[in-house]
Amino acid sequence: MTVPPVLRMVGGAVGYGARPAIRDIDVSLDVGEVVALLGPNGAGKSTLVRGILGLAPLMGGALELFGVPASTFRERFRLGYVPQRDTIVGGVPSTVREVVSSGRLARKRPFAPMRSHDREVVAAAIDVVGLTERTGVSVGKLSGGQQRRVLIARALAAEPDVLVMDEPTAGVDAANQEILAATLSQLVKGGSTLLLVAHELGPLEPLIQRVVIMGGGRVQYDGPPVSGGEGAYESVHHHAERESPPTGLGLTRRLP
Amino acid sequence: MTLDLLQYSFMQRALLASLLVGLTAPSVGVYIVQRRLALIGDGMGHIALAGVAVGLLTTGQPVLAALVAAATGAVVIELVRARGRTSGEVALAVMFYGGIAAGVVIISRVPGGTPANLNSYLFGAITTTSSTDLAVFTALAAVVLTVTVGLAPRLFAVSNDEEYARAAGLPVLAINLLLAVITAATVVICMRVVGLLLISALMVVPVAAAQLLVASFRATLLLAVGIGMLVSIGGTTASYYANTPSGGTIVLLAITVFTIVAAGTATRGKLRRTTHDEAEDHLHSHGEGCGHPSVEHDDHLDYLHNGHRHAAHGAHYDEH
Repeated sequence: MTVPPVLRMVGGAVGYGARPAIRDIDVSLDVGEVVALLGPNGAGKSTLVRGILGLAPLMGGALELFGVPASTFRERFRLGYVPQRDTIVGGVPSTVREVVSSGRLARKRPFAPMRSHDREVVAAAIDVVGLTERTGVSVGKLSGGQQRRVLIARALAAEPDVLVMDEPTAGVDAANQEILAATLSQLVKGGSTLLLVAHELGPLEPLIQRVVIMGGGRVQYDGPPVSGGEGAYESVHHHAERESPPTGLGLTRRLP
Repeated sequence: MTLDLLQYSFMQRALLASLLVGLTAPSVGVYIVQRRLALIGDGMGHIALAGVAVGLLTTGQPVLAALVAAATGAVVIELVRARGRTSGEVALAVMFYGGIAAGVVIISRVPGGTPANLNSYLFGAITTTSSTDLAVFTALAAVVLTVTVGLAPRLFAVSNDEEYARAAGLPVLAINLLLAVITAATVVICMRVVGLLLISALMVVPVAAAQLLVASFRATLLLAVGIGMLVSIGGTTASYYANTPSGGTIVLLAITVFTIVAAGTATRGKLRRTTHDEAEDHLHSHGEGCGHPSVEHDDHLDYLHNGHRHAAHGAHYDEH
């Protein structure tokens, strides 16, 4: 029996209100893949991710998560979501351990206390992002980049089968971007499946196995990373916006 | 001074009710403050007044009627909030002012309804807690504390990051409705001692003071409950001797605690900032041959790093 893909969307439409913001989306993610979802602002990358995560309604087409239709999928904790946030500070201080522990909850029944195994998973998640020494520190005292790493640890605490990260490097200083890249490369070496939404890849580029480029609410390109670095993607964006995909870059829409 | 106030059964009831207020209001308030919805308890108090009025007019049971009104209002508030429309805010304002207006008008028509009567509901009056009230408050407090303690991780997760909680598959709407209903229950527990217009203060002010002193959510919760009990029992006692309304006395005491804590931490923060400036995070350890030139600085070495000087301090580096 083959392993079902982590996600498979066929003819998907996602949006808010009456009209879908993105349409005719065919996209899939296999176990162990590291895929970047690229595109300019407003291309619909975040909308697609929100649709996959159940945060925005699927208005058409079909979405399967781990081989189960999304509408009946009950194991959302298998998708580890790392939202794009400039800050994770609420009105009351909370420590790194408390925020990361909240990621563990999706695997726990109501009223069930944290057991030693849960605490070990939480500690390991904090260790992966290199914040062990800050475990008891209020997240409000951390830099923006460190807070982003707390959110990764929170997602890891649920022991997800895939990490879905929205703009992990946006607004993060160079030093923290390197740390993020090192953290993610460690996860990839361990066989993690990653779906990264990005405006630009920066230091994450070497990790990426496949790119999906969105433009104008549709998938414009789905295939191996284009050689030639960031510049190559830029040219893809610009052509994609004019809806005339460039030839010679191997732009074939990968159909399921 | 002797504890002569304990000779009176109305004071015994008032002090027990104050204890329940001190326990429950901050333990619900910590989640409300976490979501930056500090004024939501105020709105529920407004709606509860309409319930009090209807209860007085029909059954003579203001407490139970207030519970029904506040809980219904809480559910509606949460459903409006869940839809996330900007028009929702206006709808809430209409509900809140409608509640207080209806309450004032109806109480004026209740046989025996007087301005003093109304005042006791709005601002609290220690003498009004009956033994039936106390039994109801105790039962409600047991429910509130079971939820706020037993479901603390879930309430924290949803209050901390609602979107993440939804993506993780937690039943966000159900948890929000539960929090709304126990907030309504807390409003009712507080109505005799603190009064419907001042309830929100006891949910918010002890939490505001506690969070200045500690780093974790858990410690904030425990300290806020401690402050809540101190000011509610202290305020009730003071109001007995000073012959002042209990609600105002308790809230002034809470604000005094908050002001002292805020002034203290501000002074401490100023002192600390001038002596200690932590460097940006990096996994790199400075040392011999690390590639960063070092310079002697008093008794230690500073490493030149991107144009500034890092000095080891415990597990991190300071800017020197």
